[in-house]
Amino acid sequence: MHMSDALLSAQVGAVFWVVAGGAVTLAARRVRATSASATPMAGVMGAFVFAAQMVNFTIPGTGSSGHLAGGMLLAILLGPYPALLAMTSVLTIQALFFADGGLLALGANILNMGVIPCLVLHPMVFRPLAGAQPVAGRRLRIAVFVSAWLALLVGALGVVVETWLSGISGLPFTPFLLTMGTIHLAIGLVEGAITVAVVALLLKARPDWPLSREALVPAPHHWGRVPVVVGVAALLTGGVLSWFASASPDGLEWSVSRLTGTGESLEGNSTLHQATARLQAFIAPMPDYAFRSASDAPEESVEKRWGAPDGASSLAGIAGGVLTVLILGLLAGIPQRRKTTNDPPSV
Amino acid sequence: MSGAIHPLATLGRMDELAQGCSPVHGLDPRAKLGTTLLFVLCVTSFDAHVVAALLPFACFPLFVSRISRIPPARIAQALKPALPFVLAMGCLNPLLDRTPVVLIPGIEIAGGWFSLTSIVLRFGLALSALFLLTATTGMPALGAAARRLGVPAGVIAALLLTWRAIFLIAEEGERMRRAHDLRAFGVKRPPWPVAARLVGHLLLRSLERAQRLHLAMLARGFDGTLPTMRALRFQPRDGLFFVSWSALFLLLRFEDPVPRLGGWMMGFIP
Repeated sequence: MHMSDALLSAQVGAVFWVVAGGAVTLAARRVRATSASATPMAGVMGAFVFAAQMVNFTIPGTGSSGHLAGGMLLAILLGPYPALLAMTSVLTIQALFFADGGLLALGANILNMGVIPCLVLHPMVFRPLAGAQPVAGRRLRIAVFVSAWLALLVGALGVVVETWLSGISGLPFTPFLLTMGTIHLAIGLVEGAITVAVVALLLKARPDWPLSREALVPAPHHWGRVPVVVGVAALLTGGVLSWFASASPDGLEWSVSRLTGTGESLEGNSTLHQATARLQAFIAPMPDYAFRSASDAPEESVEKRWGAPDGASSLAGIAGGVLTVLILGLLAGIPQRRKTTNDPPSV
Repeated sequence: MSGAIHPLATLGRMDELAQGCSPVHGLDPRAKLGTTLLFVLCVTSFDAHVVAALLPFACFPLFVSRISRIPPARIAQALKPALPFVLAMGCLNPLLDRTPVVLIPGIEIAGGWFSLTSIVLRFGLALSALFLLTATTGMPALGAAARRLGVPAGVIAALLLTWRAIFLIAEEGERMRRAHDLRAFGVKRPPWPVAARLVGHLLLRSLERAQRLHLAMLARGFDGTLPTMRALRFQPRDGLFFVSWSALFLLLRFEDPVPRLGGWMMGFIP
């Protein structure tokens, strides 16, 4: 369920980075203000989620395997803010060491698997269902089940939305949404069942475990200007980066969207691209054509349909690509200089 | 059962790589983090169908892998598990996007093949750069760099504590899994009720461990941040590394040299 760098465009990724960064900063500030000593607990529980994901189970009826996502479990056990810190740590380590996601996708992944369960669904679904003072019993079981199930489902739908906004993978929105939704509807049932069982086991072993952690938003002034700042920063990032992304000289790219000769694809065709394109008209220091006029030669190749039978321009692209690969291959193939004897040992 | 130890072994091997000694290992982690971030941004900001312009970017991972003596095979091995998901998301593109594209006169392929190739290239480039960053820097130094770049101390403390605790807790999980495997008569994966009980007991053990750790840290004056003994010094060579690579990335991003190279080469063909 990790979103990957390969499927995310820079603008979308950066916007989610800013949003997730704001939420995590808020969580760190709240943990520091209320219980600074909760950090070790968050750390060890992050390690617990990591280890729990090593327990693969069979998903009934399918034969495939799944593992716990764990965001809602942590939010229920630790409270939303330390849980978000723990999930952030786990996701960062998975990105750095296991190629799960990537650097740019980290923001989207923190949002899908950390912010949504901890800061959105925990206060909005779990708390109302479980009541202010949750006690072991049917009501708690239902609350845990529903919220854990929803957390997984909404997280998976987040992947769909991010993929669609980026427009890198060509999957059409509605069928993709329905497929992911159906699959994760089933996986979520298992996630919910396991979370219920784990919480029940914990309460049997440790009946004193405090499930009624601090409410998420005790008073508005705790949030302060954070949402506004994060929102403005997200819009700015998206705008600036979409300028960065669409300002490249045209005609030289080996781009199929141009091959069709339709003008709209120049700016990308997803909704976010259009929205940010409008925004960038306000904030971009140089309008788009300033860049294009800098390189006047490619201008006409935009006019020309690349699908034209001569194919000369795409041939240049292929030839250049082959040459690039050859050059890099030759450079990489040069035998490594032998290590000198006084070189410290390397692994 | 050989696969059982996998995640921990991976972490251990990465830690070993980070202990290595090379000019790249010696760079300031902030320079490496900034360069990698810009690299990923440049690679991911191309349009969905761009293939040729992505190729020259491979020079960065190849260069770093060469200088740091981390063989490309290691990188490929690390990236392999994450590839199927990316392929699954991209494999329908050739069917969905059937715009005919003239590859060379006479041969046409569906436009979706370009976007699929582009997705695979993006994956390889972005994640190999990230792998090399981690493998030449290591977790503590990355934490220190992120702290100096403005990430809140609480986030870094949680991250580094998770990193430390993973070796404790994951070994605990590994023992439980091995115990299950030895008693399960060849059943590879436990059914979910058993998995739930395994996870539950792992949770109880982790909680007790967390509380002992917590008390021990409080007794030693823990205040929510981890002080570090490491003094980062940003030297001219770090600046040079960052500035020169950044300039190259921006050049490759905005002045795509590949078709020019191809046109130049075709000038030699009669």
